[in-house]
Amino acid sequence: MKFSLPIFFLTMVSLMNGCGDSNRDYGSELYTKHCANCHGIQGQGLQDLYPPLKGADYLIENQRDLSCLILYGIEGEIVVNGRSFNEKMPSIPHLSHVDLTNIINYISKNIEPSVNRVTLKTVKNRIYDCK
Amino acid sequence: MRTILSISLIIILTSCDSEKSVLPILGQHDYETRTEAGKTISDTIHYTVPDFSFLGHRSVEINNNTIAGKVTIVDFFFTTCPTICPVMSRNMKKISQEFLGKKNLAMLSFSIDAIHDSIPVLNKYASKLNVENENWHFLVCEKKKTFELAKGFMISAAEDKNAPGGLIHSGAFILLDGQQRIRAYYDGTKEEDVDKAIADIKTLLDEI
Ligand code: HEC
Repeated sequence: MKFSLPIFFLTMVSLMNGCGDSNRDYGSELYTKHCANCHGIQGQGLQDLYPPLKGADYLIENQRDLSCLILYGIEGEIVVNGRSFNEKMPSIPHLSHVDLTNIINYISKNIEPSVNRVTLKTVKNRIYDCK
Repeated sequence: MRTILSISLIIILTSCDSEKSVLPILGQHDYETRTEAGKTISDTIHYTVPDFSFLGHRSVEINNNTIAGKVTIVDFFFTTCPTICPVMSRNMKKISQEFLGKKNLAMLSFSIDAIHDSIPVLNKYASKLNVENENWHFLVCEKKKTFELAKGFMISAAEDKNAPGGLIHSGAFILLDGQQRIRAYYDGTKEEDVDKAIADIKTLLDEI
């Protein structure tokens, strides 16, 4: 095999990135990018437009469906902690199973502890079921 | 006879200002020179935002007269925008609560989505945001005029099929003084910037 300088460099760069990335909190990045706009950094919600995630009975009771809800969005009236919400949450179809796992575990750790941690396998199964 | 010198200055030096103020006056300036008793005097003509007349979510027409003599904070948004708008609305709401009952501050949120954001839709949006400030108006007008107006505020707003929600726009909050001159821009998605805006509004309110 011929030694290729560009490929060598690319490999080095990706390796270096790999090292730098090991401490990245993907869950936090994904939550900030995809959820915090509407639901707030602390999951506090926004008035009667966007429901809270923190302490949200709806989320806690329907946590089995969370992967599907994030992937496909939700619309129509729902009641969260006795308050009614009726706006459209858009689907985020390009999220991978790994992304979903990271988001849910971020919520479990930082926003609503009554949401149980999930494994990649459970997320995959649940996505399979909601299709 | 008057000679009008047009000088393009995008960012203005406070040293040119005749009045003392903490916030610069932004936009292109013109200078008008006149001769008075053998002396050449030059007056600065500041950029002011263009005239507009839009319908507000309370079904009242809102135009330049509505904000004349008031400090005004402006943003461009649309109700179904999934990205920055919810944060902007959250932050506008914060400002609106800070200045509850202050008649000298007007707040204008222009929707750039004339097709979806009808007056009833804007009205519902405002009520779901629990807007209490009577001087905060959500406005809509035909698309072309809205995009034109955005240009007049020197920010971008346009259609873009690839953007989430089909529209792209700046997340800026624009601060106007009582003469409808642009005094500052803020990133409406950043909390630090919003706190700065609140402080600057207080400064401008003292000016009028
Ligand atoms: C564009 C705004 C928006 C974004 C972004 C968004 N949501 Fe939502 N979300 C909503 C709205 C609106 C509802 C209520 C839907 C309804 O009325 O049917 C909702 C409902 C929910 C619910 C059920 C109600 C509750 O609070 O328990 C959950 C859980 C949820 N969202 C989680 C998320 C997560 C996790 C993300 C990020 C991956 C996210 N949402 C991103 C707007 C959004």
